[in-house]
Amino acid sequence: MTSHHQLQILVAEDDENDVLLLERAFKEAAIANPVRFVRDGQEAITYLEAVCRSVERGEPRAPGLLLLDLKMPRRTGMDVLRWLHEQPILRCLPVIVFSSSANQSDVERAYLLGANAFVTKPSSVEQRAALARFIKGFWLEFNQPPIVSVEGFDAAQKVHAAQEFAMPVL
Amino acid sequence: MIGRPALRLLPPERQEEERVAFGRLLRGERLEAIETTRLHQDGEPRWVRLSLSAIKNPAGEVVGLAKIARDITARKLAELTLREAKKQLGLRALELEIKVRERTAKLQETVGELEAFSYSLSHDMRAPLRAIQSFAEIVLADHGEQIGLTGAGRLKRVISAAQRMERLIEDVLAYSRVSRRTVVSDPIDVEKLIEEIIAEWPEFQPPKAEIVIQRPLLPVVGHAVSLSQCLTNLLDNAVKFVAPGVTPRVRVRTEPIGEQVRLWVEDNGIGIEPAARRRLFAMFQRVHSEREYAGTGIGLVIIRKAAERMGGEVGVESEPGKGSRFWLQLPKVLP
Repeated sequence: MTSHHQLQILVAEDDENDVLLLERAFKEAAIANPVRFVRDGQEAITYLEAVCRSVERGEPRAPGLLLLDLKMPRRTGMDVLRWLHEQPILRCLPVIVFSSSANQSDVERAYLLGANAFVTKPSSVEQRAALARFIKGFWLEFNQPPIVSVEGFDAAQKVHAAQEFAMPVL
Repeated sequence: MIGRPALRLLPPERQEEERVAFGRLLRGERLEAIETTRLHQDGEPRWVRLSLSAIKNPAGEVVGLAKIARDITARKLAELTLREAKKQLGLRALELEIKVRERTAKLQETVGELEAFSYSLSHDMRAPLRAIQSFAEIVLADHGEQIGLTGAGRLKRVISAAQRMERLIEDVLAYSRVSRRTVVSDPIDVEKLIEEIIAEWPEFQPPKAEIVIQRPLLPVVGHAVSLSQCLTNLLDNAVKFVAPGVTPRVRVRTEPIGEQVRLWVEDNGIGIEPAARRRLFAMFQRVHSEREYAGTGIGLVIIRKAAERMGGEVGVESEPGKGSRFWLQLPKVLP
């Protein structure tokens, strides 16, 4: 088990309350990783595009985990998944979809579009803390992140080019 | 009539008919059961059924013609009336079909709206609810001492009210799913299904409850997901509505009733008053207060709807203090 303290978590969530509650849950689970919040799907895409262009020099590395709300203004979580799916390198990002309800067709569509997990938002502080502890234990410790999240976009691009990962036909 | 030419009986537009017929008869044809019109001696047109044949001498020469005409006007009129009625019926059917098509379109629109409604119910209404519950919990945890016992008690009410609302939304959504989902019926091993349900829920296992399956349970034809939901709800009710301190004891058995199988879930619970039994399967109807027995009043409605969609029925027999015997009837598996 490796601990990935440096892995950044990107949270796309438009509901202010959910942001506050998630922050608290992360604190309770002692998640020390840097967390970046974006407020809708468009902001998430803009941010990730910046990672690709290495424009944000301070953060050339992609997030190690994206927590993605589904129902957001401007671009929805599904839109973000669809966009990610078409990105040659960023499509490696582990994504946990967060939704208020487990609508069966949402669940299927999210997985088809490459989501790695689908979670119904917990209603209680206790369940939320349990979820945060699980995220920490599994996604931030047991799980092996892709190169782009650890060494950055340029490094990932080199590895991908050398190994000639073909872009699968959509 | 006697002594007058038979051609007088031919309606003007059919003057040629008999001549043609004679020609055919002379060629040796037999003409039978020909339906046509002739004039009655009073001059009124009549429907007749004609049979004509040539009369031959022993040498085989035609020496005369025999003709039998039967008045079939009454039958013809009845036939005409019937044909007209059929035509009208066809028109009605067409009108009806158009109406059905219009209504279906309208219904589909409503279903679409309903789907949008339940989607919004599950997303937009849950978000504020989640915030209410969570922030109340946080205030309780972080500032519980400052707000004192009374304040904390009130906050706990906020939390439990929010949780109750959450359960209501859950159940309304479950109900709308039952109403809308495609129900495909297959033979189901009820015994196995019940065993799986019991194994899944600690509430259905000792020491919390004793559920006895009277084996073998007859298989039924139904939709596995819907049936599983029904059985879970029935067992849930069976173990829930017991007097304080009583261990729930439930017996599950099946009996064949004609082309169907009746599945009984019998409990040792508090039973149901006759007056309450009538509204038991209606939406949001609750017999007990939330304080006595928690619930949303939707569980039995879901069962009823699911049973209907599988071509079955539900019902209950009960007496206060003597437990309840709920039954669910579904088509049996035909060999």
